[in-house]
Amino acid sequence: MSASHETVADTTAEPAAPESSGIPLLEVKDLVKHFPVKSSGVIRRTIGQVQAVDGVSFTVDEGSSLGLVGESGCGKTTTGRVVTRLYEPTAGTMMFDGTEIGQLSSKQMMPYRREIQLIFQDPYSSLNPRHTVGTIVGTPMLVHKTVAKNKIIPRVQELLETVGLNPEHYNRYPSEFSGGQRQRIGIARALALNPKLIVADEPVSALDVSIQAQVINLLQDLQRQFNIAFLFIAHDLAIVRHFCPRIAVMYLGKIVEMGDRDTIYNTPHHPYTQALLSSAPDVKQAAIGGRRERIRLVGDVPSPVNPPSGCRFRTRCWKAQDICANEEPPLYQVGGREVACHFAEPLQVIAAGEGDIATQVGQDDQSPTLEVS
Amino acid sequence: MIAMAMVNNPKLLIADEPTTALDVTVQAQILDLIQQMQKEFGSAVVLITHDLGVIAEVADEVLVMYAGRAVEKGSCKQILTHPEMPYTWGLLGSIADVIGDTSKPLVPIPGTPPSLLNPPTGCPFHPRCVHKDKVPDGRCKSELPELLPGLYANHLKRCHLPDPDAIYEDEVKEMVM
Repeated sequence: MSASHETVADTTAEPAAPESSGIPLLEVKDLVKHFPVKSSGVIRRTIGQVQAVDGVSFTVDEGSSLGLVGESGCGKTTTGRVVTRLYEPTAGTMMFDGTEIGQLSSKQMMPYRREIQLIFQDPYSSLNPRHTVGTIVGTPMLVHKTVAKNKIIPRVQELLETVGLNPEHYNRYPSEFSGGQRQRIGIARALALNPKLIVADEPVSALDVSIQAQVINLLQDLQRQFNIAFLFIAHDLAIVRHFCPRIAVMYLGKIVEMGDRDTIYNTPHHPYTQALLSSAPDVKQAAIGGRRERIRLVGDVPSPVNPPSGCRFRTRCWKAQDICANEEPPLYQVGGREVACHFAEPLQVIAAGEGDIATQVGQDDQSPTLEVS
Repeated sequence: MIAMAMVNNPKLLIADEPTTALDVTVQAQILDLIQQMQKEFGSAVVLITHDLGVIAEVADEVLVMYAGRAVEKGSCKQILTHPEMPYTWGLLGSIADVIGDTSKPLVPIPGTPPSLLNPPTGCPFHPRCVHKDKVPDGRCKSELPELLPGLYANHLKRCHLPDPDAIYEDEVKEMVM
């Protein structure tokens, strides 16, 4: 049996990841990231702003995980990159371990770069094919001088063993590894500087189902072992639910609903969360309860260059009324979660008639199951 | 793309990972569209996918493949509730769900898929199979199992395990479900 199996087998015996330490590690407040849109021609004037992230606030606790879900283009990856300071924030504050890191110069930022690491989505393009695994995993230690030069190779081997790879393979190239093994190399690189926070941007979406489970178990194991906090960005709702005790749903640059895992998944209050959850195909649900009816969202996500007034979801929302166009909903506290909707309520039995959807009397509040007549 | 495929009123539509890399909301739209087309034109659809969730939503019958061979075939419900082949068990244990217990870790399939240049002898799944010791004489390693009828009607499986349903109920289902 391979070394990778040993690590995975170990994890199955231990309890699940800790729910929350309650000590905030990263506090993001009103974070804004706009990208300028330039006109074509010789004089490239700024003619608009892509409002990729527009006023996002959240907290990641020490040793805990916050899941960030949403469709492509909703700004979740941009949020992750601003947090790691790969992009400069346009506005807002980011307190990391008591220090505001949003405005630090790159020199002042150096010690914090050690503490905040990134795992990338695509293990085929995020590893330099001309570098050996030893170089890839060892370079962060060389740059930050955290380990003496002659100690780097033993440390790399130790890290490879931690992520379930053969330590003797440090001389090999990424092309000699499978997708799951490459993602393990990416994880070893992220661990090299003993970070407190890892921003995991779709860490398993490029992997096979059977390998996804190996990597998820590995990440949970590492979280327990080293008390690492995760900002876990993914579009797979089931994986996010499995990994993160707290979840934030994003739509067009804003958080629309945020709360504990069970609160969000059992009784979603925001229409967008309800639609998203009803669209997610689910094996167990299908096996026990038959197929569910989906809430069909009309149209596409609007352009973030020129987002709708008021509530950004109103153009696709079946509950939208005048107030939604005129007044942007703040994050209300409803039923133990924060939700940005004027009409936030649990999903009721929904009857779909001739193209319109009406809310009827409630049913059990345990599952967002829909029945359609 | 779907319009292009439907131009000549095909009797058979082969959809190769039609929704992989799409958002769930768009995926739902595409799956609805394919099902609607199927009704309207009476086409048969072969849906190729790695996403068991999609299978659960749209398929009538399921064929599970491993290393170039069919390893299990049956109705969608059968495959999801009474799979008879350890590879299918592994797939079901590997996926997270939007319902169910989050405190239990996922149960991945150990190892990686085999190289097809040099496939394993006997059952192609045996190097990763945790149940191979339950078959006497190391037959999993030496002898390729035939695709034979399983316990349920219209169910075919390629596995030496004598009573897979009992093993599944006793040992695996707890972990998978």
